[in-house]
Amino acid sequence: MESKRVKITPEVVRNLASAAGLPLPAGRENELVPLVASILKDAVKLEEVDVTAHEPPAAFRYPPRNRDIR
Amino acid sequence: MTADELCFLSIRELGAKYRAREASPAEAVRIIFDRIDRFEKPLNSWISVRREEALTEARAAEKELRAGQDRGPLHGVPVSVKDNMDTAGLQTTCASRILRNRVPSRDATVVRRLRHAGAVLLGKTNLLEFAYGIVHPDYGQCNNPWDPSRTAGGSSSGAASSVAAGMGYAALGTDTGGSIRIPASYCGIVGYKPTYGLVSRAGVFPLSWSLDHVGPLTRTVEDTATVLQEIAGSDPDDPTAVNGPIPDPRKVIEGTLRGARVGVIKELMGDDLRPGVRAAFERALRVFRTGGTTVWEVSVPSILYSDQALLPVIGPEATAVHESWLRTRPEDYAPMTRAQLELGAMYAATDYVRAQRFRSKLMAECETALEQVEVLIAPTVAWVAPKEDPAVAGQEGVIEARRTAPFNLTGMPAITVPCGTAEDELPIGLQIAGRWLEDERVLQVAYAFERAAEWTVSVPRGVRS
Repeated sequence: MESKRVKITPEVVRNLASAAGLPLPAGRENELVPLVASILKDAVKLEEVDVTAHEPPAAFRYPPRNRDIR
Repeated sequence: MTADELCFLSIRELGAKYRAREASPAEAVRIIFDRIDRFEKPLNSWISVRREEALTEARAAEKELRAGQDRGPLHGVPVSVKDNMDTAGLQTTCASRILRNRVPSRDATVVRRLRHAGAVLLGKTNLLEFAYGIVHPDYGQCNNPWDPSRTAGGSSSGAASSVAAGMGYAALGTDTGGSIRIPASYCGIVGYKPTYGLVSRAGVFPLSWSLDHVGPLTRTVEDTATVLQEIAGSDPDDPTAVNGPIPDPRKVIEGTLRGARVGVIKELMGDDLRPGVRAAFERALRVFRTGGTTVWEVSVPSILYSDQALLPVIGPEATAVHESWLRTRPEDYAPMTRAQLELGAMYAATDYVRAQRFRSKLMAECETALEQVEVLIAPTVAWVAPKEDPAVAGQEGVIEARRTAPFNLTGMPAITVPCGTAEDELPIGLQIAGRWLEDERVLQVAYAFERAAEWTVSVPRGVRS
C-alpha cells in the first residue's frame, strides 16, 4: 500500500494518529492502512488538476463557532 | 376521501381542504400518527415523535385558521426535521451515542421559521450517524418504502422515507455530498439542495461547514418551493447565510419546458450508470424535447475529479468538529464513522487547500457550461436503492455521490425529481442544477418536467394498504 508521497505502513498511520492526538487501540493501525492508502491515493490524483490559478471560494470560508456545535 | 388519500395530498391541496373545512390539522396529524404506527416497524424512519404536542399544536392551528388568523401555506401542515437540527426541549441526537441525551435549549433557525409559519412538527427523523454515511447500530438502518429490505438512502434517510410513505407533507434534511438528493432519488420524491447560504444552518449540527446545506424533501416541486419560501433568507446567527432572491412559488408554477435550454453533462454519462437508469434518463430527455426544450450536450471537463476533491474537504472539516470526542470517546462512534473521522486527521493540509482551490476551478467550468444553457442535468445517482448505504470513504460511496457532490463543491442549487423507475422497478431521480442564486429557475424547470413527465410517484408499494 503506497501513495506517491510515502509508503503507508502501520507505523506511518500510528504516527499520523499520534500527531493528531488520536488514541489508537493496539492493532487498529493495521485496519486503517488500506483506508489511509486509498484516500491519500485519491488526494494525489487531484494533483493532476492545475488549480494554481484559483483561490478557495470566499463564500465557503467560515467554520462554525463552538457555541453553534455544543 | 380516505385517510390514506389525505396523507398523500400536496401541501396546497391540504391547505385548500383546511380552508374549505373539509379537513383539519388535528385530523391530518391523527391519521399520520396512525400511519406511523402501521409502518414505523419496517421503515424505522423516526428517532422521536411528538404525539401529544403535535396534536395540541394542530388544534391551535385549527382554531387560528377558523378565526381568520391565517399564517400562510404551511399553517397546520404536519412536517418533520432531521435529528441533527436543534429543537428546544426535544432531544437532538444526530443518531449518535455521543449526543444520545442532548436536549437543546433553543430551536435551529429553520425550525423556528417552520414554527413561525404555523407548521406542526411531528418529530425528528432518522439519519446516518452525524450525517456521515454510516448507520449507528443503536438507531438502525432506515428502510425504503418501495422495498423495505433496502435502504432509504443517506444521510437524510428518515426524511425521505417518511415523506415517501405519507408520514408528513414535508421534511427538512441536510446535504453535504448528496444527503438530501440521494435518498430522495431512492425513495421517488423531490429533494432540494438550495444555493449555499440561501438557507441558514444555525443550530444544525455541522458535518463539513463549507459543504453543508439545509433543504426540503417533499412529494412535489411546488411543495418544495412553498417550504423553501418559509425557511430561506439571511440570518444573523449564520455568517454564511445570504440575503439572496427567494423563489416565489407562484412564479415556480409558471415554469414551462417550451423554450428552456438544458445541458446534459457528458462526463456524468459514464459506464457506472446502470442500464435501467440510463434508459430512464433517455426517456426524460424525450420528455424535454417533446415539450419544446432544447437539449444540448455540455462539458464540465474537471467534474469527475470531484470524486477526489470531496473527501479532502469533508474529512478534515468533520474531524475538526469531532476532534475532542474522537480523543475522549472514540468507542461511542459506529466503527466506520470512527474510522472516517480518524482518516480526516491524516490528510496533508495542502490536500485541503488544493481541494478548496479545485472548487473554484469547477465553479468556473460550470459557469462556462451555463453560458450555453440555463440548467445542467444528469441522473441523480447511478443506481437504484441498494441494500445498505456505502461508506463515504469507500469506492461505492464515491460513485454514489459522483453526480451530487459536484454541486456541494460549487454551492450551486440542485434538485432531484422523480424520473420513473429502473432496475427492480425502483424509483430513480433526475438532477437539475443551475447558477448560484438562480434557485427559482431551477425550480421552474423541475416543475415543468414533473408536470410533463407525470412521474410524480403514487403510494410506494411497501406502504400500500
